[in-house]
Amino acid sequence: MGIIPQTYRDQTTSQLAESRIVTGLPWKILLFSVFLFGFSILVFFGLRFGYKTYLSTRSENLDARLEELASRVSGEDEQDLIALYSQIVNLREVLKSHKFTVNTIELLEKYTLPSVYFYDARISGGNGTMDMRGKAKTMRDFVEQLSIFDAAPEFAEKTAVDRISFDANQAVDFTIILKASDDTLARF
Amino acid sequence: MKPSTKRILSIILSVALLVGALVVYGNFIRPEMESVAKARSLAASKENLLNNQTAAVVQVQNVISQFQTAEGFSEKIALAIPREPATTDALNQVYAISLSSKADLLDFSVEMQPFRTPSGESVIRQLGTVSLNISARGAYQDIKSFLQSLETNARIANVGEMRITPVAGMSGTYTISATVEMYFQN
Repeated sequence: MGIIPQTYRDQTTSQLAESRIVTGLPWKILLFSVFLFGFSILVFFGLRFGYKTYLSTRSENLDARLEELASRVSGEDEQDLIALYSQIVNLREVLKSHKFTVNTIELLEKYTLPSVYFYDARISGGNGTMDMRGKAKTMRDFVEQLSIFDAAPEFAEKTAVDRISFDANQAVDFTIILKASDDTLARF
Repeated sequence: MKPSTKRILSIILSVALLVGALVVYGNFIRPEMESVAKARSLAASKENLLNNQTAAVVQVQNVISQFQTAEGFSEKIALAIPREPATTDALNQVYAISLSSKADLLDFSVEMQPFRTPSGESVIRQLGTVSLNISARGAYQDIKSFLQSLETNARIANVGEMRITPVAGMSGTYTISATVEMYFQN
C-alpha cells in the first residue's frame, strides 16, 4: 500500500470510474433498443391477433344478430304491413281530391227560380263546371235567375251566358256555364 | 473479448434493433392499424345499424299487433281501396246502388287507366284506377239518390264527367251518364 503514492492511486481510481461510464452507456442503449424492438413486435401481434380478432368476432356477432333481427318479422307480415300502409297513404291522397258532385244538384235546387227549369246538365265533377241548358218563362225571369246565381257564395265564378234564344211565347231558351267552388264540392 | 469490441458490437446491435423497430412499425404496425381502423368503423356502423333496425323492428311489431287487435280495420281499408281491380265487386256495388235508389242501370263498361306512381316514399305501392262508364235512368230524386250513394259508397268513387238529360216521351224521367273513377292498389 505504501509503495503506490497517494496521488497516483487517486488518479487511477478516477480513470477507472470514467471507464465504467463509457462502457455502461452502450449497454443502456442496447437495453432500450431491445425493449423498443420487443415492444413493437408485441404491439404488432397484439393488434393482429388480439384487437383485430376481437373486432372481427364482434362484427360477426353483429351480423348474426342482424340476421336474427330480420327473421323476427316474417316476410308475409312485412308485405301485409307495406300493403296496408300503402293503402292508407293512397286513401289519404284519393280522399284529398274526392269531390261530391251531387252538391252541384243541391246548389241548383237551392237557387233555381220556379219559373226556370233545366233540361240538360253537363257537369264536370273534377272542377265543378256546370254546362246547363234550360228555359225561363220570360227574359225578366232569366235575368233574375242570373243575378241570383251571381250573388250565391257557393259559386266560384260569375255565370257565363253561352247562348240565349226566344220561342214564340217569348220564353228564353238558354245555355249558361256555372262553376261551383271547391269548398262546395268538398263538403257533404 | 476486449471491452472496446464489446462496446462497438453493442452499439451496432442497438442501431440494428432500433432500425428493426422502425421497420416493424412502418411495414407491419401501420398497415395493421389502418386495417384495424377499418374493422373498427365497420363494427361501429354495424352496431349503429343494429340499433336502428332493432328500433324499427320493435315499431313494426307494435304496428302489426295494433292492426291485428283492431279487428276489421284492414278489411274496411280494403273496401275503400282494394288490393286488386275488383271490377266484379264494382259492378255489384253499382248495381246494388241502382236497386236501392230505384234507378235502372242501363249501361256499365270498364276501362283500366294507367297506374299512378306515388310521389315521395318509394315503398308505397302504385294506385290503379278503374274508369267506369255508367248509364242509369229514373225519376229526378232517384237519379239524385243514385249519384249521392255512388259518391258516398264504401269504395271511393270520384265522378268525372256526367250528363243528366230528360228521357224523350217519358215525363219526369231522366238519364244520367257518368264517368266514375274507382281505385285499387297494385
